[in-house]
Amino acid sequence: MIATAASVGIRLQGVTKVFDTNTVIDNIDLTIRSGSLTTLLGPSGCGKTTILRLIAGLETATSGQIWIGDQDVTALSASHRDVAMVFQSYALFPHMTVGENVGYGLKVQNVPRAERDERVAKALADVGLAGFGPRYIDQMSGGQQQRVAVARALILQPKVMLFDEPLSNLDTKLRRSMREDIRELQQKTGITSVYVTHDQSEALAVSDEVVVMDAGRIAQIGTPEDLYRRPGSAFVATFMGEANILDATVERQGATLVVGIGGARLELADARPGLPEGEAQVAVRPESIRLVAEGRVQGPAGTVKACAYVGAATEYEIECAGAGVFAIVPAGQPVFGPGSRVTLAIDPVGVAVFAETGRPAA
Amino acid sequence: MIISTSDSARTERAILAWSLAGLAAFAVLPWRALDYGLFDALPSELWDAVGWRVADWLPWLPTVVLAVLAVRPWRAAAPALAYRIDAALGGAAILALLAGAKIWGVPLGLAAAIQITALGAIAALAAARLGYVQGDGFMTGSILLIAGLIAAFILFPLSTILIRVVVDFKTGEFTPFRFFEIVMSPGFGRALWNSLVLAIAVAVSTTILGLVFALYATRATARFRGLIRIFSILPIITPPFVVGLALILIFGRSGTINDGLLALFGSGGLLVPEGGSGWFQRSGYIYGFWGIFLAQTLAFTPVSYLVLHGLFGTISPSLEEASLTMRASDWQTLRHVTFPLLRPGIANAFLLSVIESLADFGNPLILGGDYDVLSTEIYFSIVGARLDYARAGALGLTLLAVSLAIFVIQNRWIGRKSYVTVTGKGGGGHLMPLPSWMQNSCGVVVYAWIAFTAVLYGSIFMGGLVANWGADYTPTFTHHAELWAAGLNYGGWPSYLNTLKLALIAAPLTAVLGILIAYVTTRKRFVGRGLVDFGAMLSFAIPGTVMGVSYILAFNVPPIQLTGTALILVVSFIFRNMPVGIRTGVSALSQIDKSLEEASLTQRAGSLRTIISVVLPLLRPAIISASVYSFIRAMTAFSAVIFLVTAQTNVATTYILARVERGNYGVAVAYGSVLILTMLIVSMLIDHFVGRSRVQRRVALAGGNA
Ligand SMILES: Nc1ncnc2c1ncn2[C@@H]1O[C@H](COP(=O)(O)OP(=O)(O)O)[C@@H](O)[C@H]1O
Ligand SMILES: [Mg+2]
Repeated sequence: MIATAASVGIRLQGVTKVFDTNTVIDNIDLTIRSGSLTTLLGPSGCGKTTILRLIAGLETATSGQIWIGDQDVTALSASHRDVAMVFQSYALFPHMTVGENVGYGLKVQNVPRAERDERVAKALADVGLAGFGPRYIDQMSGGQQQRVAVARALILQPKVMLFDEPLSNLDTKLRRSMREDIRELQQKTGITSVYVTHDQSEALAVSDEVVVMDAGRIAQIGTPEDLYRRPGSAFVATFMGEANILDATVERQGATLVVGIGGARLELADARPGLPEGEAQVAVRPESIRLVAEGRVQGPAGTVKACAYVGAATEYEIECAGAGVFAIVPAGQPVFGPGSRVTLAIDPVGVAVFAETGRPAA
Repeated sequence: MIISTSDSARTERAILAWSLAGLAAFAVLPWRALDYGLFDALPSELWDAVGWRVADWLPWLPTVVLAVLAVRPWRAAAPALAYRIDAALGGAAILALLAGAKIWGVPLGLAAAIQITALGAIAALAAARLGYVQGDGFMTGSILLIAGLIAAFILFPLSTILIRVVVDFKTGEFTPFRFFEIVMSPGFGRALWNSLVLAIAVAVSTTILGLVFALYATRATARFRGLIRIFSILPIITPPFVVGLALILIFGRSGTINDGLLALFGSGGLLVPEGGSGWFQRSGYIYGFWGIFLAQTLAFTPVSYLVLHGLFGTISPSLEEASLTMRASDWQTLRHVTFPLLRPGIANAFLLSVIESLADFGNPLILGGDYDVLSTEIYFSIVGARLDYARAGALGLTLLAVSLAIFVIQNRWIGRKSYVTVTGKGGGGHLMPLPSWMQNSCGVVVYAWIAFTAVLYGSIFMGGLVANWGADYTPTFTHHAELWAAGLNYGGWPSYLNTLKLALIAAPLTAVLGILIAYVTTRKRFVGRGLVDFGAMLSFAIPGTVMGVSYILAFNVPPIQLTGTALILVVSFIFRNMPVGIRTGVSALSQIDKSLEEASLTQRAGSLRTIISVVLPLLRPAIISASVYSFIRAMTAFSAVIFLVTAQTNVATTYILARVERGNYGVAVAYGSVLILTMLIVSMLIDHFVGRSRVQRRVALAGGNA
């Protein structure tokens, strides 16, 4: 529908935002590739919305610069930045019809009536709402309102689209189909998009790149797979899916890293420079842990504290060297009741060594 | 870089347009203020006041600056530098112009006002380009305008009071201890003490009555709710001292009660033995504390009722139901659940009544006798032969300090403690009815009140229709005829029409300014918000008499010379009633999701466009009701305007007061009743068009009386 105009990237340079005395964004450098869909992911209150609003021009940075393409927009007001935003609350005008909402930006630009109507009709059709123009907003369901908000944002063919938790007000089922639709529209138009969410599965599903944030700073940037397989810190490991953080020894042997956990020696193919050696903490994904009867293999020993059958798998809570370990074992494996002594067999694929230490996500 | 360049071009075009407007004003409009105001001046006088014809170099100062700004010789410089120069030059020219006008005593006129506006607009545009208020030119301009207006019409007048107290007017000597001398002088302490005692007594009674009313209206039978509503609105549309007049008709020296008692127990009375001298003599007991107390209780109870009534509506019935399911009795539930929830609201109503009572001027003036309070003392320091502005200033500062302190307490302390508002929506359920003993006693109070009010208002309407209340009850239209039948240039018409005209001009301006202030202070973050907040708060706390005194002191000399004009009345209406607009605006804006405006901004609409297309349509009911209540308050304004009117600009309230002072009670109440009817009709019409509950809510928010 919309020509993939030369899309542009976004660059934040040393951006800091202070509310009163509270530093909400702390000296962030971030580059968002042109044409990509990048998600900002992080716990509530870490500053995701604030970054979005800084890019949109709804907040002024306390210091630092913001670039859209090759233009420094730091001092530019929101109405001159050529940025569209889908708000968490949708922010649809209650005193206008669906068509008037979508056509609002065109009207502001003094686009002639006939052309406006045509473009509104097309935009509504693009989001699957053909014919809904004359309705008022309160006559639309939540999912439909969401689509109106998307249509309104897209119609001006902005350089940048911003989504602030656009699906948080929808039910689970609708969320799944809407996120696919948004992804598809974004790919079709090629508009550089920034998408905020606190839901890691949503982030993994839609993004080209994920920026994990923690308390006003960037914890890690990478593709969804990168972040899952090679989290840079305990925070990222626990935020991107579940992870057990365990004490281990790390030893570099040529192209492999040998990780020792409670007597088990695991060889990791990942031997990036910069990873620590000696005593360290590692993340172990719960689904990479198998349980075997004590003494059958070398490895950390523990006692099953609780087990729960959840359909496709059995979830275990195991006490192991004073720490609690969480494991998800697929159905079909032997089942151990509470109190059983077991040894953990760990698949190296699910083990990650961190470049930096940091607290796990709460 | 395309957008950025076109943006700069747009700003530069706007700067050029404003400079040219300023230059054009210099060329053709009167630059000096005219002695009799713009509309009463002769064409030749207007022409002689035009900037370049005035034999003075001051008009050339802003004009030259504007000419330079039109050319912008620094336009080639780096934008950051160029805009800094624009902003600095614009701001400096305004300050220099005001200082010059002050020092050389040049009264500024229309062209000068336009030039100041143009310089301010240019400074705002440039400041916005430097990133002020998120780069928003219109918002920056509005903020500058608001700050300028608050500085000119609230802070500056108050500062002149202060100066008058600490600088001797005749010798120009600095007299730092003058304030304390005045405070220690005879009468001052008594007036302060009287004011405080009265205010606390009135606040106690209005809060209790307001609570009784609110309980009864929300929880008792619905039969008389409409009646309660009318009776509670009446005092709001009644000019401030007309209730006092009614009390005089009933309880005064020759009032109904005195007459009745005299007829029964006086000399030759019905119940007195033949030839006895009787036990009763005429008495002026209504004059003094009890008279004012009664009048203020009548006047302010509705405000306290509306505050509490509004609060009752926000208490979720489910809280009471929860208590009842835990086997608490009705009375226990009221005592342990409902009243604690109401406590902040009760404190709020109490403090509001204290502020109202302190500021009230009309009732103490008419009923005070020798019970002097601060507000009347201020007046009596200035009228007549005394003309002691220093004393009036010291009294005014004291009154202002007390109201401001109470206002701050009310705002900070209660504002924080109000847990009722956070509970949010009620989600169904029924409010618990009152225990029957409570319901009955509340009913007695409510109906006694209604009966009393009915008698009072009856006496107002009847008083204008009988020959001489207290002596001769022959029905007659002479009072009304004297007022309304002598042609538009005689009797009551000039003041009535003048009030109507000025109130109609002021009302929409008040609403717009108040709502704009509400908008920028709640929605925008900017350097200098503290000043706007502080000015707005002052406008809430400033008593009318203090404002009146400060306006005569501030505006009878250049640079802003307004004394004697109708403009000063309009200005005083606007700044006196601005809180109505601010309160209405704040509450209406809190209902509107901020992201609606942000959505409009990201749709490339500028902030002016956003306000017109998104904010105004959603605020329309608020604007209407704020206008209506500003109108009503302007129609009944008294305490400030009494210092500002002249024979040419007389208003309704001051006309009535003049008749009272001459003892023409019949004419005074006849006029008062017409005024009440006017406003009753206006508010009922609006009620009809805007919707009932909404208007009622706004009244609660608007609070107070003139
Ligand atoms: N307008 C504001 N004034 C003061 N603090 C704010 C404001 N907006 C956000 N904050 C604070 O900034 C922090 C980050 O907020 P936000 O960006 O909304 O987080 P997120 O979207 O990641 O949940 C929070 O602690 C919030 O309280
Ligand atoms: Mg958020």
